[in-house]
This record gives sequence, C-alpha cells and structure tokens, in this order.
Amino acid sequence: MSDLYVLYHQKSNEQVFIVEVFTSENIESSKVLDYKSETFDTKETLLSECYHLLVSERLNSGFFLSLDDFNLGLESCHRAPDIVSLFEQKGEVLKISEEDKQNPVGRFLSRWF
Amino acid sequence: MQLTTPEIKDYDSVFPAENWFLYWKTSAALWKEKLATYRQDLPVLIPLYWGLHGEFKGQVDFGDYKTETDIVRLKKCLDDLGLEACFLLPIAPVPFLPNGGVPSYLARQISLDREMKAQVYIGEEGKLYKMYSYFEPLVFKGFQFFVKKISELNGEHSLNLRFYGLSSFVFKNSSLESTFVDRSVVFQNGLKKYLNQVEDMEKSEVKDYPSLIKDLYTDLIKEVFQESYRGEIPFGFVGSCFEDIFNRGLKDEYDNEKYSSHFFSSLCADIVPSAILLNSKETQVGIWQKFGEYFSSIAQNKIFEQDNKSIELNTIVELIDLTSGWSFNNSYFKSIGISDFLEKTLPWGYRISKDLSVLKNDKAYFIQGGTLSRATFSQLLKNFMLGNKIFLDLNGFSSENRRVLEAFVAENNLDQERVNFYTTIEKITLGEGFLILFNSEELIQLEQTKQIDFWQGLFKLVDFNLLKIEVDESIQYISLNMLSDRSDLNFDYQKRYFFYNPSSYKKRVSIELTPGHALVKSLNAFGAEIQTLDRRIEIKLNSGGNICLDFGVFSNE
Repeated sequence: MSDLYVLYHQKSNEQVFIVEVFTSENIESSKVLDYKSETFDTKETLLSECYHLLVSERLNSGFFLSLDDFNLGLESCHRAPDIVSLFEQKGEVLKISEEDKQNPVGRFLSRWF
Repeated sequence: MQLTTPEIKDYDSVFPAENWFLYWKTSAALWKEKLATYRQDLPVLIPLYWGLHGEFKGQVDFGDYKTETDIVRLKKCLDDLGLEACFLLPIAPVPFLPNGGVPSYLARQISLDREMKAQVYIGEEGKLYKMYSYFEPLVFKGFQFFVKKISELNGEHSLNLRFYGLSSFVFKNSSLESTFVDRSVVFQNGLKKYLNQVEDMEKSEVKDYPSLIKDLYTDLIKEVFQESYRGEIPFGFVGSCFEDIFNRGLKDEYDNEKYSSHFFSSLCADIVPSAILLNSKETQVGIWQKFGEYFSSIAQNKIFEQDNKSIELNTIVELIDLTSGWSFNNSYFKSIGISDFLEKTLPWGYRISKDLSVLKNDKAYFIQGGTLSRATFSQLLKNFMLGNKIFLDLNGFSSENRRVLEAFVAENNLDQERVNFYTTIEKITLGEGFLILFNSEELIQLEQTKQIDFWQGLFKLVDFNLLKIEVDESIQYISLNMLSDRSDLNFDYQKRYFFYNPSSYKKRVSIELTPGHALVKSLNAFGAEIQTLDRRIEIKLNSGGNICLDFGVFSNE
C-alpha cells in the first residue's frame, strides 16, 4: 500500500497551506494532486480532510511535515529516500483504523446515510 | 596520485546535442579522449564549478592541488581538438552543481523559493543538489575573488577564454523561475536594510532589490572580463520540479509528456532548454531523441547569435514582459486571455520576451502599457514607424505617455479607425505597421471563452499567412523557418512543422492548407499515418510517433 506525504506551511493566522503532496507509489489519482496549494482553516481540518483521502484512496499512512522542519532537516538529506525518511522521522503520522482499512467504502458512505 | 587506471565514465553523456562538458567528473588524464567524442559543430558548454576551485577561503586552485581544476590544460585539450568552448560562469545557483556551485565554506544559508521552501533539485545520479543564497554578502565577496583569479589566469596564459554568464531557470508548477530568487533570512535582512536606505531616494532611482543584487554579479563579470565576456545565457532545466525528486529519485519514472511541455515552455520564454538533470538513459528516448537536431541548431543560434542561421523558431507573436526577469509566470497574460488564445491557436508560435530593443516586421508584438517608461515608449513608437505590428494595452498606461501618443498621432497625421468589440479598439496605421490600442480593464472581467473570442477578432486584423492546424490534446509541435533552403525557387521560403505525440494514446493532427502554402515533402515519419485530401492533410500519430512536414510558402499575387 502507498503512503501519503504532505508538506505544509502554517501561516501566522493558524491557516495551513499545502505546499507539496505526493505518494510513495504510483497511484492514478488526481484527488491527491488536487490537494496541492489548498488552504485549510486549521491543522486539524487538514488532518481530518487527509484522513478521508487516506480512506478513499486506500492509502496506508499519512506523514505531515511542516515547512520549517523540512528546511532544517534537508541539510542532512543527500538522496531522495533521505527526504522520505525525514517525513517519517520528523513528521506527524496519521494511520487509518483497521475498521476503515477493511471497509473503506462502507465507512465512507456511512457518513452520508 | 592515482593508483588505478582512470576510466571514462558516462556521467555527462546527457542529451548529446547539448555538448555539456563537466570537467570535474572525468580524470584530467582522460579529458582529451572524452572531448574527442564531442560534436565539432557545436560549442562545448563548460560550466565553471566555483566550489571545486575555491574550496578554502582566500584560495583558488587551477591545477596546483587537484589536476581536475587545471583550466590551462583543459583549454589546451580543446585547442588540440579544434573545439570551440563557452566557459559558463554561474551568476545564480546552478541546479546540477553541489551547493548550487557555491564553495562549502560559504554555503551557509539555504535559498528559499517564493513558497518559503528550500530550493533542492535532483541530478542525473539521483543526488540532491541544494541551492545556497547569492544574497549572502560573503558569497559575493568569494565570487568576486574567484572571478578576479580566473581573469588573471586567462591573461597570464593568453588562454583567450570566452566567458558567458550562466543563469538558471527551474520549473515551479509549470512556470519558469530563476534560481536567483530567494526568500531566506539573508534576503529579508538585506531587503530591510535596502528599504531603510532608499526611504530618502527619488522614486525613479529606486531599483528592485533582487535586480540590484543580480546587477552586482553581472556588472562585476562585465568589468573584470571586459572583451572576453560575451553575455548571459539563460538555461531552463527540465526535470527540476519538486515532484521530480520522488518521481525520478524513488519511482524511476520518466514523464515524457511533462518534459516535452517544459522543453517547449523554455523555448517560448527564449531560454535554452537543458536535460542535464536527467540521466543519459532518459535522454535517449522521448523528446530529446526526436528533437535532437532541431534543439542543437536552436541552442547554437541562441549561444552565438549567429547571422548565418539555417533554421529558427517560427515565432509569430511576442509577448513583451518588461517586468523583472525573475519568472515567466504569465499571470498578466493569462488574466486577459491572450496566452490561452495563443496556446490554442499558435502553440509554441509565440514567445515571451523581455527585450523591446530589436523588433522584426514579420511578427506581432503585444505590450502591457503600464510597464512602459517614457524611454521605452519612445522606443516602441520608433519601432512602429519602422513598420512593426504592435498591440498596446492601455490599462495602467501613464498620463505622460498618453500625451506623447496623442501628440505623435496628431503631428504625423496618422489614419485612425475605431471599433467597439467587447471594449474600444483603436487601430493606427502607418505603412505596413500598425498600432492597435485597447484597454484590458473590461477584458479581465470577461469569461475565458469571450476573451478568446476577443483575441480571435483582434488577430483577424493581422494577416499572418498561417496554416490552419488542429491537434488533439498532448500533441506537441514546433514550426521552424528553413532559412537556408532555397533549393526550390517556386517558393519564397519553406517552413518545417514537426509534430510529436508524447502520450500513450493515438492522436490526430489536421492541417488545412491556406492560400499561399503547398506541401513539399514529409520526412522522418515514425508511427505516423498521413492522408492528403484536397486542401487538407490528416495525420494519425501513434504513441511516441512523430512526423516532419515541409511547406513551401509563396506570395498570393
């Protein structure tokens, strides 16, 4: 299963802006890319939205790294996998529950019915 | 000392027509052998890796410690092989050099882009290259020292090196942006100091801060190298998007469609496209293989500004952007719909240019009036009198320039026509030239389809004598003027159209032969089916397919 990586920038007014978003494997989903340059009112809103994305796109985990941590941590990165490790070590992790993993569609629809 | 026999590595065998030579990647003992494989008809592009020569403060190595830094020896190899070389001095961070080219002891402040994200790019070997700020005063001092030392070397050994400034552009969300752009603390502190200084200055004397710093670098190399300095060459690095780090670095993906589009975007912005960030395997396929010959000719024209060009891009419209040279993000041109219109009707037949000095009569020029100073407006009027076709947006046009224009029209007793079409359009004619005036204020409010309708109407006023070409989405094409092909005297000149399908699906191209055009020949067809029906040519291109068509152009009289 693929993972989601989100690089965000928290502005002074609490709003969170997605700077970059990508997945570890190739998934044919424009939904993920649509999130690029999106702004959310708070970080909680961003995490909640991304949780839906993880469920609907059957992604395994989400890693959320702030721009400040990225800029600092980049000093020690020399190849692309180092950046992935940076997200995994310094970022916040969001994992989907077993229940959502097993029945993503049912859980998703249950929000509406 | 070397204990093993040096081997030639394939490191810098990027797209061969580019002729980059990264001397530090090959043992000096093998330079000659390697250079002997380079094309003779193109200049060898040699970026000067400042970080390699100046590893320590107050020291510059030209072969005293490391043989790979021996520029005198390198020049001798080039001379022995009869190769011409351009020595490129980075005047902005370079995406394929460690630390952007800056020596490690000066690489203190990582450069941040407009989104405040550290500038990092992935090179051909999967290595990450981080850019360091050129706004750091110590970087400038170190650069100054290096430039003086290399100039001394050039004089002492009578090397006759030809120096060029290397400015780098990268892709950010499909727009081109200079790597000189920085938003780091160093930049912000410098800007604050500058703003305090300019408080008491006249508005006309105030320069924008990044331009001021950039000028420090360019003025320095002009002053030090003098006659040996031949100008600045901007390169657009394909594969420099942030997502490339993951697509190429983790997934080994090569996005042919995206790279093709970036290749053309560079050409449209008058920037030399380069595949140096991609690996040699990637440049053996797709756009690089297909457009190889055209690329080398276009790049050569750009580098040498040759008078005896055999080929040139068939540019019909130039959008003059007189705002700062840091990015080509098109936002103004997009807001009034002209770039969308041109992408639909003349894809790659238009260019964004930052120069108003040399205009040609066979093109039309589009200019935002608000960016014209008194001096540049006078230059524009001179160009109009020389027979140029100019579209001038009066939105933001200064009252001083407006008075000059009114006086100019009255004094020369020029013909004026006025029509209303979404907004008021005024056409002033003088011989073959015209000046079309309109105000984009109302145009910005219109929906996209109406904007395109407006431009279609406006461009009917200009007879470009074009073929009518319809292509499916994803098809890339360029049109070239074949300047030296006078073999068929039935035609005034020939145009070559090159169509390429970078997508995974079969695509269609339809061409209507307008009066004054005749199909001469088709060549280099690969994965292409062509059908000619009366005055129409239908082409089907398979995935990765391409075809070249030559058309003769003759006057209708």
